[in-house]
Amino acid sequence: MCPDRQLLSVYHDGELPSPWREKLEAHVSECSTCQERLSVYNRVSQGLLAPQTQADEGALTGRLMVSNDRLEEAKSRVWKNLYRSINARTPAPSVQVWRRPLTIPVPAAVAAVLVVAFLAALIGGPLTVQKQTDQAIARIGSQVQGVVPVSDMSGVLKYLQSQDNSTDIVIIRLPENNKFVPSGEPSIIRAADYTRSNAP
Amino acid sequence: MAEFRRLYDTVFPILFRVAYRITASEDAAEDLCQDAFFRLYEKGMTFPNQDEAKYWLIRVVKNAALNYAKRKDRERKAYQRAFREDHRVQETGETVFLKNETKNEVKEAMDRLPENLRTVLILKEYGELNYKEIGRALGISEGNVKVRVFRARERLAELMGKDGAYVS
Repeated sequence: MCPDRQLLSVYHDGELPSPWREKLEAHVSECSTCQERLSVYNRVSQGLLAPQTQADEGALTGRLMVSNDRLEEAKSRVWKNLYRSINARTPAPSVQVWRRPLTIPVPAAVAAVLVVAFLAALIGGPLTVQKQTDQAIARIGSQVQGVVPVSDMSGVLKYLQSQDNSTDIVIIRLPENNKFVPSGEPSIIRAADYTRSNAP
Repeated sequence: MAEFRRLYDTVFPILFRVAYRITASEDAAEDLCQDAFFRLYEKGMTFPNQDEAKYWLIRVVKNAALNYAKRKDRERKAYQRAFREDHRVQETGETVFLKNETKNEVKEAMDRLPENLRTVLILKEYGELNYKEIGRALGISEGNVKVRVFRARERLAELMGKDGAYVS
């Protein structure tokens, strides 16, 4: 009974270990089918290792596709090029860190500036505005306490007369909010005019 | 550098034969080998032993050569389409020519093999590597290499038989 064909392939490659190799050889010597199969494998290998073109024929030796001479030529040529490339790429002697020029791509630099500006606005902006608002409200609240309301104009006049013009106090009620109209008459003046015209 | 030179002297012949077989061009084979060695040196790669470096180089050159061959094949087909050339092989009655054709038939049949079978056979026949080395280079088991080499041979014999080549 013939062995598996795969064993013949392994034998052809010289990779069949010892006890099996001898057994297979003994079988093949008596079996024409296995001999034929082995010869097929041999022809496949020979066909693959044959010269690629007729021009190559003269220069080739043995079972190698490339002649040893040409292989050696290629080897020294490639080494020469390789050596040159490696030397060209060898890094220059190290430079001190602070003297080393730093190159940043323009988009990266712009992005960095934008990030810094955004962070500055985020941290500094609201705090500053908040501080100003708090200050204004606190000052007004503390001074206005206990004063006669402006709406009671006659009361104010009486108060001023009772002070005998010795004090120079004029109190004007400020609007409820501080959102002044940027153009035109300030509402603070109009409120005072309106109060005065209606007073008598 | 001395170690690198030793590795180069040992591995270059294998790489060159494999690359030459796949690309069918000495210039391309030289370029691919040079690129592979340069990459190894430039990246400062370290390997536990020389064999591992050899397997890495074989892998790199094999892949690069296959890519090169595919690119060239695409270019060739594009030119053929562009010039509408007729590339049918002319038959001759000469026995010498037929024998040469037989040799070429084997290689043509080889090119028609699937890549996984073709690669192991190339490394076996042209790289002169054993099953173990091929397995390490391709990242597959030794048993797998054995099976692939066998299937590749069987497929070649079959393809050549169909084409009426001299292999029976």
